[in-house]
Amino acid sequence: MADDNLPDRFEAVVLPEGVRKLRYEPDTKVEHCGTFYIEREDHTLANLIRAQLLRDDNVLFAAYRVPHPLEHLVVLRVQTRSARYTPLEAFCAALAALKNEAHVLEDELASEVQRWAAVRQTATSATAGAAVGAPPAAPR
Amino acid sequence: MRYCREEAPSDRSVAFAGYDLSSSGRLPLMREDYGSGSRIATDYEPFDGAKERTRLWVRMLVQTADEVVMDVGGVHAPVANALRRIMLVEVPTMAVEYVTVHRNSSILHDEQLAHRLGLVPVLADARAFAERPPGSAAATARDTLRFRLRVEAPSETTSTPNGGRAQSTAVYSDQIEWVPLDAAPQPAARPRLMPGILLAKLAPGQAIDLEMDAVKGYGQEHAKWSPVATAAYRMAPRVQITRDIIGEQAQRLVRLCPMHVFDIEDGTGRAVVRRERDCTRCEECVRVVRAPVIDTADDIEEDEGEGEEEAMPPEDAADTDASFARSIRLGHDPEHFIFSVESTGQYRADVIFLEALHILKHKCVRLLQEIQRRPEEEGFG
Repeated sequence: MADDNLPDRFEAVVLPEGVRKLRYEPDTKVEHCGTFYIEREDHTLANLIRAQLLRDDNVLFAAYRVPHPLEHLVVLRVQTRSARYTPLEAFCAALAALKNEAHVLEDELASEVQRWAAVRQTATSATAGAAVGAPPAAPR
Repeated sequence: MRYCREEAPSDRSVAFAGYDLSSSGRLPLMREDYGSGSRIATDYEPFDGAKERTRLWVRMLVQTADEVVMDVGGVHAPVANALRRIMLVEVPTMAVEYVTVHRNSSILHDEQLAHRLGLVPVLADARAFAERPPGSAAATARDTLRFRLRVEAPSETTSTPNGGRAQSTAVYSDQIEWVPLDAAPQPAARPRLMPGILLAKLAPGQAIDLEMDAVKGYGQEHAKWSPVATAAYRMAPRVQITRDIIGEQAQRLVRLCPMHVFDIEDGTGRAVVRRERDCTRCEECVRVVRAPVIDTADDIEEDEGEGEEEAMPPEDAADTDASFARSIRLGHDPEHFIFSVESTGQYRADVIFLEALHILKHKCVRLLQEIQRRPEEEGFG
């Protein structure tokens, strides 16, 4: 068959049995430096973490690569400035910050959706069928 | 520094005091040393919920069921891009994946018909479903929605209202019916496919009879699972008038801009920026029109062969008749994004954005948990 060596479509999504989502290998030659191997992730997350790490003043180096387009793996290398702050810590701090950012945005959007719902309701109760424009700006 | 394994504490929340992995918790940055378990001070600024809240903001400008336009402020480009990418391919939906053809005498090949069916949006909330394991044949109500399509075009002998030959019969997605899989409780709204989509046309006597299974999937696998028609962002444009433009010039500026960004202030006659968001940065207003030097008899003699000469206004010159390059500054705000998301019908557009944020959060939590597990196997050096 022509598609004998065609990879299964779900391979990009499903983590295979026995494969670790995340691996960390400290560098044997460079101090406070290490490499993260993240399975079944792509540029979406890797670029985000890399950018977040670079905002951290204690991170000296952060970069990622996708070794092969058919292997759904990203490799992220991190070097920090001192042994008091390991790459693993930097990685965790970046993830925590990103998690918080998403969380705050989620809250913000949810309250915005509520605000619209409230405006719609008052508009329909005041004048039934009236067109609803953008709600007034909420105080920041 | 090697990681020394120690006895796992009974209460994980103590060992990882800095981490609250629950979805609601505010998460301060890590304070535990990973290596030895001793406390260390990091220079890294701890998370301040109140500060973050003033930095980040969301404002919806258009909200309909299918479309949402919103401003997202305080985020950096990688975050905006990650959200866009997640909306495109990582928010799950239901789509037809398995088609069992019992009969198909239409002109469409089975696989072509199946492909068309796959692309019809399934109006069901995929979040209520589990993923069907790859390769599993057994469908359950937990992971599959089954539909059936049975149509038969009237045969040639059937008389038609217009008295002529029988016409072709159109098959629409409305004719697809949901088949309950087992004795599962009936959902409030019957699952259905997006109505009004033409699937095939049948000649007299032709028939289609098939069953299809819709399963949960991701746009990463196939675009039919993508919940959005468009998920895009642009940076908010910034237009600034740095030097007063008045009178005749102001009127010319208003006419110049194809997006009608500028307006004239009442009373003063000064040009002002009125619709900044509409600016597409076409740069028409700051374009320097290079006026070709008018050929005179002398010029032709002097520079023969040189077609036309262009002149730039000198640096300190006021705006020429042609350009406002020195009075207008065009730019964009790198931390203010205008998102526009169009749904294909499975979810409300703002729900897709919320889901993307949720997925992004989950990705981070997943990796943090992976570290938290501190497994003894190799890999955490």
